[in-house]
Amino acid sequence: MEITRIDESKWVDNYSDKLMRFAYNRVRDRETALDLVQDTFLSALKSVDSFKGEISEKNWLFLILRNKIIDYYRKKARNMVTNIDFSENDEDNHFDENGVWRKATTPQDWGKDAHQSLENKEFQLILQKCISKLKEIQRIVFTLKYVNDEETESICKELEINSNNYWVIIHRAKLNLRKCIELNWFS
Amino acid sequence: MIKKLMINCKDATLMSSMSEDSKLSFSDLLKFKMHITLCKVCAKFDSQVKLIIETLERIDSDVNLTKEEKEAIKKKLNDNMNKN
Repeated sequence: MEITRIDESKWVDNYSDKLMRFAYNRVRDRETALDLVQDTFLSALKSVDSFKGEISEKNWLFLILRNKIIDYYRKKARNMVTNIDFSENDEDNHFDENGVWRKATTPQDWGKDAHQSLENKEFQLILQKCISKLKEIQRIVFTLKYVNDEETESICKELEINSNNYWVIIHRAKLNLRKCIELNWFS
Repeated sequence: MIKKLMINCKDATLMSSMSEDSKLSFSDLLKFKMHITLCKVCAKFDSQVKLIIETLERIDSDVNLTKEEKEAIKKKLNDNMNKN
């Protein structure tokens, strides 16, 4: 097997735009994304000696960036979790006391062509806007799970939330996100 | 017997995320599947959430670094390399 060789002098030219897009898709703030990319290169430089060449240079850099993103969200979520007001019940906006959908929030038909929205730029924009409107903890957990593709267990561990709270947060995020998209796109 | 298997829409939509992660006990999974089969609204919720998640995977931004930003990072890397 050929061992991957590191060439630091080409990092920025070869990978910075790709890393930037990856970071931006996950934090949705240009300055933050730029900082994360720069930090990624600096961390990589520090640990060049421990790079064993088992994965490609590119994958290695993305792995470092991915961890930086988790770190960024962990710092943001610190203290936030203990402050979640679980009595303030998002679910009550969607379900009545019997757990049945309320009339105003019952999912509507999105039409036969709904799946075509996947590639629609405007739909993607609305989706991003709706994510940014979520309460911060919902946005963080949802993003880590579905954009950064983290395992549920590792999100719970990193953000120090128990799994029951995790499911409540994800549930609320999905309810709010779906409703927001329906209001802004399909009506 | 049937009544024992009935759950409401609030619980069913919560369980939907858990089932994705294979985190439901066998009896909960049964309750969830039964609800989703019978309740068109919750089935709709489920497929719409799936559509949202699938869309997320396709989103790409066209953000790039400026020349100046790249030069700044290169300089920083260079400074740090010389330190070592």
